[in-house]
Amino acid sequence: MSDCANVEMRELLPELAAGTLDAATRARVDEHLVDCADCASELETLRLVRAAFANRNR
Amino acid sequence: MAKDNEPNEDSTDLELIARWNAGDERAATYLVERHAPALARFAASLGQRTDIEEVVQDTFVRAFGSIESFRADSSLRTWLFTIERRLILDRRRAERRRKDDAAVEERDAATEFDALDEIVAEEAQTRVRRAVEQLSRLQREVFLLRVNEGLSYKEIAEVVGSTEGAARVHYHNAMRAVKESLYV
Repeated sequence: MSDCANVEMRELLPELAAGTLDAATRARVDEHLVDCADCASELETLRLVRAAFANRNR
Repeated sequence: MAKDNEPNEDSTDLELIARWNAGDERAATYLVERHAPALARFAASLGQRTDIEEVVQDTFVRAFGSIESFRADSSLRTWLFTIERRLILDRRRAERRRKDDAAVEERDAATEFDALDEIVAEEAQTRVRRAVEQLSRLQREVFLLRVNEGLSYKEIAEVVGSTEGAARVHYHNAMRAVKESLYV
């Protein structure tokens, strides 16, 4: 498990998981995710965290 | 030198799919070589510990068996990830049935995939909660403010009485620890 070297893209993943990116930025991140398994994995982790703690707070 | 219309490593996914549909087996080989490593990593990230190569191969078998349903408005790799995720869920359903078939089959009767998704999601969420709870208090606070509340580093710094740079470091250290706890 490694970290993507593209810091700009990594920093946008929490907002992508939250669904708060504007359309143009989202498209750029989506394009990056196609070829970056590290960021795809990190996004999956972010979604898991959001789901886990959202459920706990219900 | 390869002819222009022959598949090669520079061909796009769509070109290779077209070649494969036209009966050229070499195109499938290029597609497998191109996407297999990412599929293996993705399987591992979903918690698959064993049989990763088999899962990847099965993913391609399923994909090539229904390639006509691939729509070019998404990337091939994204479509393959979707297939692989479903395949892993199917395998876990089978394993779970072997262990505890009666209870699960009763639940599966009406909402088979929903039930399975829920089981897998609950397992994953339990693991991620444990991972986050193992962080230091400050790391956990910063991490959850960023991930769940959507705060910027500047806002987090104000909340926890730190600096923006320190908040960024805490977030990335926390993310690394959570990923290591989940996937290693």
